[in-house]
Amino acid sequence: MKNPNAAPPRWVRRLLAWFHPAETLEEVEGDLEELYSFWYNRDGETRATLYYLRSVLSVLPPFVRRRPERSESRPPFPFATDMLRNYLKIAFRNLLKQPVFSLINITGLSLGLATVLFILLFVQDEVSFDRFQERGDRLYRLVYHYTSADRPDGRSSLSGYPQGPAFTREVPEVEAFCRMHGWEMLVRKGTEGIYQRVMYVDSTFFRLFSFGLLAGDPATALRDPGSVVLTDETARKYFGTVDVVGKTLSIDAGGRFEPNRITAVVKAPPMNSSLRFDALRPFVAALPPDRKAWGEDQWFNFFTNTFLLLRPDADPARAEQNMERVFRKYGGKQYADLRKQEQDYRIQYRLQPFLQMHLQAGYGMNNGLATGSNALYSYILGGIAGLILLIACINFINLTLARSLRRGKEIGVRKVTGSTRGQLVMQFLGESLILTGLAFLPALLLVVSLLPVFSDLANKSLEIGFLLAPQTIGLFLGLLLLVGLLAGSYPALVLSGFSPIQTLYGRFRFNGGNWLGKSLVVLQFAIAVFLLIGTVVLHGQFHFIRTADVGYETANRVRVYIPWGREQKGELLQAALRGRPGIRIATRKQGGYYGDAFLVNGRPTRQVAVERMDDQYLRFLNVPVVQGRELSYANPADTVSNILVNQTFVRMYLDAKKPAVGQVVQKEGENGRRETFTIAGVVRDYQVGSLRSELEPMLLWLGKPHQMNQLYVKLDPAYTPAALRRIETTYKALIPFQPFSYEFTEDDRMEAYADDARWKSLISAAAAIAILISALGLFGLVSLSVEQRTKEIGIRKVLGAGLPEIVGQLSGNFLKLVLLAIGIGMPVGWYVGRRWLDGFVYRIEFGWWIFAFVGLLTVGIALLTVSVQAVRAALTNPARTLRSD
Amino acid sequence: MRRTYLGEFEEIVLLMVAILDGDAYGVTISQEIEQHVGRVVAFGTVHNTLIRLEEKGFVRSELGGATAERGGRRKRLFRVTALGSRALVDIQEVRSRLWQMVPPGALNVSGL
Repeated sequence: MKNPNAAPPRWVRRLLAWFHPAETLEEVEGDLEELYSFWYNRDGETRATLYYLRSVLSVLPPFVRRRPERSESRPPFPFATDMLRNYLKIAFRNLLKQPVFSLINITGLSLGLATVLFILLFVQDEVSFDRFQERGDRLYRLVYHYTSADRPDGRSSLSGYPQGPAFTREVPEVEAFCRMHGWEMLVRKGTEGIYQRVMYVDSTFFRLFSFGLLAGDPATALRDPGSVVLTDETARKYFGTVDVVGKTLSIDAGGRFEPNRITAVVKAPPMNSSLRFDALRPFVAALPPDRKAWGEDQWFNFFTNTFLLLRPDADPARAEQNMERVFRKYGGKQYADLRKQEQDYRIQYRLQPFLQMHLQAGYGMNNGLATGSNALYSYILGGIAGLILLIACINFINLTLARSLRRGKEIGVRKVTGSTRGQLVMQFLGESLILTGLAFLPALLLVVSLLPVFSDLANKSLEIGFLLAPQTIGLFLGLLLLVGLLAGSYPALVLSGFSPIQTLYGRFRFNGGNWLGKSLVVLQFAIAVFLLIGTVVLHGQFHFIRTADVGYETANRVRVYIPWGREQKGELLQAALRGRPGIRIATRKQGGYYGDAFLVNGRPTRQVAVERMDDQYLRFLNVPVVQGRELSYANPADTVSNILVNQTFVRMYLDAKKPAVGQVVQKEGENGRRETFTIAGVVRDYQVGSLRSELEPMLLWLGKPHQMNQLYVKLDPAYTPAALRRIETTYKALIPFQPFSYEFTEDDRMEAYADDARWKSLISAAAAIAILISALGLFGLVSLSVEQRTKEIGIRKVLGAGLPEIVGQLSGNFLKLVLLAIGIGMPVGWYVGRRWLDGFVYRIEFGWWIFAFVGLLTVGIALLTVSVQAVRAALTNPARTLRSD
Repeated sequence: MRRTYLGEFEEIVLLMVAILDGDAYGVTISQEIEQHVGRVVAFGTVHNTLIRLEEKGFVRSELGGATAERGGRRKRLFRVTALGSRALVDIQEVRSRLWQMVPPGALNVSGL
């Protein structure tokens, strides 16, 4: 019935093609052509053309109705629910199908995420310090920079009595000042004394700082010298209530307790405040009762912190210039006197923004301010966390790529059935987000359970509450997205680019040797090696510090603190303990060390460490006198004009031609009189400071009873607990109301390295996590490689290869990568470790053993990881692997 | 229940789709209407009606496979949906009820 030559006029067809809606063009063209040939056969060409033209016109706009767009005419929306359900189903199937890899990925990511969360908590705490101060942007701390000829240039945050008042009076930019002076004091509760942090502050305190008062008047609370302001915590501790205004509290005043009237209750400072206190007292109460001794005009008597409140919009630089002018006006004469003695001495007052105080190291945090930090810590910790997270992401990338061969068919089928590349990218990114989400839960659990340990390591009191704050949830989502994209984007791009023809043909392989995967493994292990080197260096140096010969003995020795004003009681205690069972030596000396300058042969010395001790102390330390004799209370001249010096002092200052014993050391006294001391003996050098610094010249005096407030006791190791109990009961009997505590002198010594100890633990943990995640990743890669090569291994076995050949074959490639990583990681580790060790004068040598140890350890771990899989593959019976072909 | 209004021509086209049972597309429907109803309608009218019926949900359509005829262009084949068949049955019922209410002899069909 059809005439193949019958075709409607071309121009009418064009008309149709041009104007008919595109959605229905194909079917209408087809229908009309079919009708045309029908008409052609029935009615002839002319009529057919006529009918055709009429029909075409009837389906042209405006007569034609448009077919509404249907979804099948374009790619489906990627988030269409049924597709989404399919993606989820496939994602979870894949997770469950290969549980080992999912576990490796999730474990790695959780560890990485947990590390990052910890560091986020840390950094958040650091940067939030003091931010709650409402006038924080106008608050400054008065500091000064000094230069002098024989000391390195320095900075200090201390100031004296007159600076604050003078600057506030005469510098127009300054609105108010508050001086601050704080320490721990005994506060009596019933029959016991408890140490509390007491801060002596000017009555302007509440004008400068934002601490909410719960009761009392901020303007008058600190006016009367006998008043005290308690925090709500302290009030509850002592009275069980915060309703305490008007009550009295007994505070130690150097040997006796004095009553103070409570005038106000203030909210306890938060943990991220640099100002931390349990009680506030008026500044004047800390000064001697004799007003002349206050040093009201002493510009060079540095002991307090002075905070200044600038006027709004004041320029700190101008204020500094004006301060210089005021300083010259009032302190100029004293400055000139000082510079007569020391010509190159210069000081310059500066303003340190209060909000930068916590993170700006170098000025010191004295007078009861919370220990400062350093922005560097945040950077280092953040860097470490970033590296660990990177290692975990690399695991994800490598494992996903290695596994992608298994999913080639899925990708091929998806593409053939119309999936676009964008959809596949979204699918794989979604999968990596799901996995990151799954890793987040264990990470949070880890953070919650390990927070106390980390707080301890970071020397902070971090609170879990921050993890639940709304801004943190946003942070979490951001982190989740970041990690999901970081880990998922590269695999998503690669996987979505697979050609369906290749994958469905069934001979699809990765070609090009997967150089990216390999370099990522190298990067992973390089990071791990770097951290391991750091760990070994820290442990090595720490072991060195612990076992170093510091010239004195610390075993079985304790220090007992005798409180301020009770030095005479300390003497009684020493006498009561002497010769008792379990106690070998009881001796006393001053607390801490201080520096002083002397004149030897008319030349001034640098700062010399000065020690005041009794005649038993050297015996207690087991430090011998190498020349001359010891000092003794039996010889009256020893307490007045005879001294001991150490070998370094002899080397640095004494006349080498004459014997040391008998030479004299002079001290510039007040009112210009020179006191003269004769050297009676030379003690062997011992290290009083940290091993970061050189041995210092030292001068030892016999102390007077009131100068010595530390009691040192050498215990008989066989009776240590009994001896400690005896010290405590004797102490309690002699010194009532005092809390008893003691420290082993070994711990005292290690206290100087507390920061290093913390870093040691932190870096060790980081290195352990890094190597663990890297090894996990390697394990996954090897097992995939083994899986792909089962047939090859089978054939090799059939042809006679033994276990060692096959294991060597499988392990060799990966070991090469690890060796390359060691080559990269070691120089970096060496450089950083060297820089840290340079901070110590006494240090371990950076020997080959460090590299050998780290290298062997890394190779060992890698080998163990690889060979577990390799051996298993090599032992498989080839009949099983080959029978399916 | 709100009924979707079905126009007279729509009803005819819908019935044709039902009659053709899987083989309904522009050409067959036009031809059947011409043959069985005796009405010559423009192709555009059939085309528009089919689209409207599909929008109302009485028919569904899909593109059939390509054939060697008509230059390899695909046909859009129509089928009656459940809603469409119910609409037809409803109309049929209403009509027959109404027919039964017509008194005998009121209609003089034969013209006697």
